[in-house]
Amino acid sequence: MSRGYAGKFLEVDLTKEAARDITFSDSVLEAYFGGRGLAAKILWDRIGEKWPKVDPLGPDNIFLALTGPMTAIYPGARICCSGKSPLSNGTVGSTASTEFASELKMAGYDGVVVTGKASNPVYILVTDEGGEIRDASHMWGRLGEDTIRILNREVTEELTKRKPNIGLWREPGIIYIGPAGENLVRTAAVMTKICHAAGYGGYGAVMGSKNLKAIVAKGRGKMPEVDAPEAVKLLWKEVHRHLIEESNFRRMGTGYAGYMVGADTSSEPIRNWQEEWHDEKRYGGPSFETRYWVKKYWADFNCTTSCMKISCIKSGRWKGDITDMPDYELEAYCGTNLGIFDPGDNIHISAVIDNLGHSGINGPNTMGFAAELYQRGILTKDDLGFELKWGDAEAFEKLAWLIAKREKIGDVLAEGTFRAALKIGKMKGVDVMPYAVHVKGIEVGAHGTRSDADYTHDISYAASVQGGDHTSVAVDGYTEMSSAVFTDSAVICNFCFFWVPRSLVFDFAKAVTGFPITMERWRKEHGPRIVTLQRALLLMGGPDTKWRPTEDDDNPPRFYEPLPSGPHKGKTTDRELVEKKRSTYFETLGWDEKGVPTKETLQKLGLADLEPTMRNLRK
Amino acid sequence: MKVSIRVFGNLVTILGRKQVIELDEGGTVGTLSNRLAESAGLRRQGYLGNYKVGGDDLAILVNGRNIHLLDGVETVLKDGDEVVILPPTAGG
Repeated sequence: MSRGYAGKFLEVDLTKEAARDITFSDSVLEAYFGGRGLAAKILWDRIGEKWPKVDPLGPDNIFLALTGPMTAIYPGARICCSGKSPLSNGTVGSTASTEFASELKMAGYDGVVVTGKASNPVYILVTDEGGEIRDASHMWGRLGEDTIRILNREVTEELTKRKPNIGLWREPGIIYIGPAGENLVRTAAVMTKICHAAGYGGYGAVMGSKNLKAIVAKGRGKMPEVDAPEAVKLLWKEVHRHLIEESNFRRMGTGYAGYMVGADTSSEPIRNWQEEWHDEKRYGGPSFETRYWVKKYWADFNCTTSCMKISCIKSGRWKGDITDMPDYELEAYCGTNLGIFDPGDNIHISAVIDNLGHSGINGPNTMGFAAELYQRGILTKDDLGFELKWGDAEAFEKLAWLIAKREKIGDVLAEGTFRAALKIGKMKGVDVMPYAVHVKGIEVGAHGTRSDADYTHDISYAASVQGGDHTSVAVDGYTEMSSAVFTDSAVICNFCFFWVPRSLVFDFAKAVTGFPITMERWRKEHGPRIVTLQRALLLMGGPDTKWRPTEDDDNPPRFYEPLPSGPHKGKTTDRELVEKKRSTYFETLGWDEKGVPTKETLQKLGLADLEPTMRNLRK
Repeated sequence: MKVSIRVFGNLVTILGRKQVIELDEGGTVGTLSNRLAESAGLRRQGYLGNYKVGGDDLAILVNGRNIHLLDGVETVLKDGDEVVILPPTAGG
């Protein structure tokens, strides 16, 4: 009997309008854990060799929102969203911090698996009475903030009618999509809590393709049992002690990095990565902190780190805008990447992006791509309906709406940077792929590889099964197996993990689940198992595109251009090093020289049923 | 024999970013890190900064391979080897 888990998952078939409880064996849970790992396993088991034919935006795709055994027990509760990604045609474990995860577990569920497609807009309500499909047509088209307000009121009224409350009412947890997801913008995020997002992978579009506006969870029960309660209590105190000491990070979050990643490590996207260095002191942390941060220490469920802040614009043309920090990624992507160096403008764009349900990284990557095409005269005022100059926040706001509503060239840009580049290339008779900054369809996070001064280097993105996802970079096929692959499957927040001694985290995992977990096993078995499965699904790809092994395991062309400015001027990514390290990486994971998992590796990791499809790829 | 070192993250300030080190034949990762520690004036035996050499937190790669998959700190180095020293880094 596995501990840490609530013990069952909710399967909802939107076509048949039916919901039922499902379970997984202890051996599956031990091998795949939860979140990212378990999602890949469920997807492979259910879709199997039909994978290349499944349209990620069609009814045969599956949307998963899964917790892991450590969620809400270890600090930093998160939900992991997954499915076949409309961007990479593989899978991503895309996480967001939210009470949806803890409410789900207290409702007695470890996750929700959604199949089929509803004939009208719906939302799913999960309580200890089970799962219900409810009408959402009155919410379809609504922005994020409105959606939360409506759902919160509606669900609270309904549930207090059914059963009276005892004590203080805790709001239900909600994951939802905005207009971007509804209109199948391939990069659309799954949103929660106004400004938190499961951004990578495009799972907002998968929800939209199922006419699924939201999933709401309200738990009135206890948290799941753990295997060694006294040990967990002691370990929690130890973890808490380590995290409470991170006072610098608590104070700044990543909100000072909008300046530092540009000025110090020269790896910040500026104007679609045409540059990576700047010294705009007006974009420094203090400008955000002193002028805009109104709430400085905000945490999600069971989080010690408490690094989130709330920004509010109290005057001027953006008066009333509200968003979190913004975090570094959005300071870069909704700011410097668009040529914007004014904190107020950055906060405004972030708030617009959040409300529309765009991914704050992937969406503005495409927007920056469009702006460079405009700069080069390839896209014109006719395509857009307005001028798109760097630094013009109003224009970029218009562009965000254009893409969310798929109007004019927005309809093409809504396909994500890679697919938009293909289409625009054909439309305009010009190869624009050199300006597309993506890896295997997934737009690259705001940490460049050219200066080598940041944590991202040669194969960080090129060899990663999650493409441009900066939270889960490839290191050596060993070390990283116990970081993002683990946290995305345990489903806990990285910022409650980084500063805690690894041995403590893995002792915690063992004390919760009772599984014989060690960090070494995760680095040698569990991590490689999950990543190899993801690699196989990624290579199977389809239906619209399949990645070419080795060739597409590479950085975007821009990352081989020399940096034009700053202290690292002239430097670029070392192609030879990429090739060398990539083949070592493949070798370490037991993949062949094309990065196709070998028969022995599949056997060793318990993935032998992948052999027939992998054999075809080896030819 | 000559071995080239690349250092990343918060160890750069202590160890410098890139250098080429001369070692006697048969030198190991352990010998190398002792040499680096000595040149940097670090006094804690078996540690680079706060990180234990051969411990779980510091990733040391020889030609892209983590030493935990080789012989740990006893991994023997050859002329021309590239060693990368990578403290745990936070992204986000």
